[in-house]
This record gives sequence, structure tokens and C-alpha cells, in this order.
Amino acid sequence: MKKRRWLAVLLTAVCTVGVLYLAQRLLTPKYQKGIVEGSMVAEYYDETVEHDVVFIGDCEVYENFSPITLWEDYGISSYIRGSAQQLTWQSYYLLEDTLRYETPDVVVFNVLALKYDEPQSEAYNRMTIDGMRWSRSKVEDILASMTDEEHFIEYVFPLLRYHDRWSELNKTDVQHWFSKDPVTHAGYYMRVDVQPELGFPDPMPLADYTLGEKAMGYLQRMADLCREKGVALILIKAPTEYPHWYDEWDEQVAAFAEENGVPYINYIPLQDDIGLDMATDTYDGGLHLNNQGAEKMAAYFGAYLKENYDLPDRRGEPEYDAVWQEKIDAYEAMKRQQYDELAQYGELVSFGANAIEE
Amino acid sequence: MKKTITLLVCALTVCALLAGCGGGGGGEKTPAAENTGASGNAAPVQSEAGSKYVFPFKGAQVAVNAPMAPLVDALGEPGDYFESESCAFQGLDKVYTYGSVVIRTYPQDGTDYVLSVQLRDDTVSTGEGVYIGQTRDDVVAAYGEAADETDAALRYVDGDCTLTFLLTDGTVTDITYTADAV
Repeated sequence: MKKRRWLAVLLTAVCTVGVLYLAQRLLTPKYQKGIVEGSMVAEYYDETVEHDVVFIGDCEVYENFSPITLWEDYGISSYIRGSAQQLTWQSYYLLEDTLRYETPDVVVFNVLALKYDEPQSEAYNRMTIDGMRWSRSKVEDILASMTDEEHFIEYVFPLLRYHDRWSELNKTDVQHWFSKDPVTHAGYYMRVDVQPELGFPDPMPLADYTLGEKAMGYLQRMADLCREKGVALILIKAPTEYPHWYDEWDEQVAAFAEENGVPYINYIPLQDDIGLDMATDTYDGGLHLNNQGAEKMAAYFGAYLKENYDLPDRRGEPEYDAVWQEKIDAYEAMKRQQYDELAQYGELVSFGANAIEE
Repeated sequence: MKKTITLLVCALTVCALLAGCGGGGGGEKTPAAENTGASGNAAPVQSEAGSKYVFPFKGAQVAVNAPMAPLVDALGEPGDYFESESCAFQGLDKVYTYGSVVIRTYPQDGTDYVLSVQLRDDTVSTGEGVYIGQTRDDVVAAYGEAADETDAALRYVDGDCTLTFLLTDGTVTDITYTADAV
């Protein structure tokens, strides 16, 4: 009799945990259509070959550089560990996380995020952190990133945060209950549409241009970690001009780079050298590059990498060739699909804002 | 067996309640739901207290964290308008330029609120009569001691608004009302 009671309790516990797990999987946002940025960080763990160059940072890396071009033109195996509004400490912890799996020759960090010195938004935090595998880096990332309204326990058990999504559930939630499709190409977010840059508002003068201590502290940790691991760090400012990148910020980053013996390249004044035409190479009025622009940017940056770093040309190595050919096929297929949609509808319907499910 | 079934039913009921209850911190939206409205920046909430720092402009009282739509009705169409989509479609950041005055907004729950009001020349002045081109002493005479001051700026804080006067060689060069926590 006692044995049966214990069995009942055990069965009940297992069923409860099982149901909670299934509910959590169902209710957690999938980021598979429209807003796909929340899927980016986790996709890295599916990679099967190592990367000689890893980019970390916000939309200014994952929308502005095509790793496919780096491979096709230079045989560079690269990956972009990007996410929307990735804050500097999040980049640091993603770097730590990356170094648990591989040691690239070069890490590239985009400096725009240095403008933020405080946690900004739960939505962006979730998109960056939820996809990380559990490690001390993730725990510290959560603690550094949480806004006042967030709770650590909700990152451990996302069901506590998302339990009220039941009324928002849609077809994608069910379709991707247990599996997700890749949304990037080695971390790159593709858009082939064009919306010309027509100018930006004048930048607002600031009372204090000093980049924040927290952000600069994590940049220092990034530089120290790279040095310790023998990884070359490159600081860049992507060529896009909005949000405004103040000269005063630029000077501080340049001074940091000099002190730490790392290169810093601001690509804004190099738009012409890169060959960018912001009437045709951007999909959102100049905030980000489109695919054509990202390929130009990668071709230009790849030449710099080859000239200044001893990076292997992996083309011809069977394992890399096979993996990258698969990526090229997926890249070209998505490109074709996007151009077809543009031709048919005059805009993208399966990507971006039009694909967001209400 | 009946006990087992009863226990199972109870456990499943708890799960269903947990998954189904709509409370979750006062009906707060999930980050995914915020995609249609919440700002990518740290969006200040509408303050109940407001602030005594309000900018009088074309017969309207322009306050930070106030809804923008009624202001557009009162001020008319701006001379220049710019909007940019936040990353991952977290809402539109908008910039309305009315000649010497630039109003920036942030989206929250489908509504745009005033994020900042910038005065760009001496054709407009603050509610307390200070305008660009006046001196540091003029500002202090109108507002008193600043909450925070440097050679380059005087900052006054009240309620949910910070009023900043930027100075060059002791002369006011820019005036901005900003919603706090942004």
C-alpha cells in the first residue's frame, strides 16, 4: 500500500514536471518569423566548424557584414555572434561563452553599444540572453543586464515570465514547439530590399560625452581576455551614421585602442572607399546595410583582415568546403526568395515587419 | 488508483492555472508582445507627478512623458519629420522639428510619448524666460542653484523631467527638457 502511494507521488511529480516543461517550450517566444533576432544567439551552438574570425555586437555587425562573402572571397571562416541592442557587457559574456567552444584568431567588436551604460530593455535582454547556454557567463550576464523590473528566477524558469502568453499563441509557436529553423547565415541577417538614406536629424548636443564606466570597464575586460587567450581584438564602428556617433566618443575609443595596442577603425568616413552608395545599399533609410551593402562591407573588411592578420584560406579543406557550401546554398536560396517577393509584391512579405505575427 | 488520478488531476490543474493565469505582474506584456509597442530604449513610464518644467509653445504646454498625438493636433504638422525603426521592430523613434524646437518621442504600448524637447535658437524661451544666448547668471537667476553643474552644463531636475542648459564660455548654447531614466 505504501509502495503504491510512493509510486503515485513519483508519477505525479514526473507528470507535473513534464507538463511544466512542455508548457514552457510552448509559451516561450520562438523568434522564427518577423522578429527573428531572438533566435540568433542560440544558433551559434549548431555550428560544426571552427571560425577564424568572430564578430560580436549589435545590429551594426549582424546586418552589415556578410560572412558568406568573407568565405567566398577570402576563404575566411567567420561567425557573427550578434543580437539586437547587444550591450557591451553582453558582448563580453558572449565572448567568454564563445571562447568555451573555440579560440578564433580575431574577434571584432562594434563600438556603438558603448553609448549605453545601463540596462535598457527587457525585450532586448531576453533576445540576447535566453539563447545562451547555461554557464557562469550566462549567470553573470543576467545579473549585469537585468532592468529593475526583471527577476533572475524568470531567466531560470522562463515559464514564470511567459505564462501569460497563452492568449497570444500562434501557428509558429506550435510549429516550432520542439525545433527551430535557422534564421541567419553564420549570424548574418539578410535583407535585400532598398530604402534610400534621405538624411538624419541633427544630433542632439550632450551635457557629458564621457562614455560610461561600466561599458568601458567591460571593453577593458574584453581586451584583457583577448590578450590572455592570444586572440587579436579589432574595434570597429560600422559605416552607418544613425544613431549618431559623436566625435567625442570616437576620440575616447581611439585613445582606448591606442592604450591597449588594438586597432580601431571607424568606417563612417570610409563609405566611399568601401564603395557604399547609401541610396541603394541600405534597406531602412541608412540605419543598416542591405545585402548588397553587407557584401561590399565584407569584401572591404576581408581585404583588411588578409593584409593584417595571418588568417588561413580554408577553401579546399573538405570539412570546411562542405559546411560552407551548405551555408552558401541557404544564403542564395533566401536571396532568391527575397528578390522574388520584391518582384511579386513590391516588398518583402515573409521577412521583416510584414512577417510579424500578431 | 483513484488517489493517483486525483493527484494527477490536481497537478495538471495547477499547471493549467499557472500557464493560463493572466496576472503576471499586473498584466504586464511579454517582451514578444512589446514588439508592437514597447521602446527599444529604457522607456520612462507616464509620471503621475509630472514636472514643473514645462515648455510653453504655440499655446500648448509641452511636457515630457506626455502623449504626442494631442500635441501634434495643437502644434500642427511639423516642418520636418523623421522616424526610425528600432532594432527587432521594438517601435518607432520619431523626431518632430518645428523650426527652432525639436521634439523626440518614444513608443510605449502603441502610444508615442514626448522623450525630449530641444530649443535650438533664441526665438524661443523656456517657461521661466531663459533663451539661447543668455548667460549662466541669467539661468541661475531664473532657476536658482542647479542640481548638477559643470563648466559645460547646468542641470535642473523636477519630477520626471531634467532641464539641461548647455554652456559655451558661460553662454547658453542649447536647452533641452528630457524625460528621466532615458
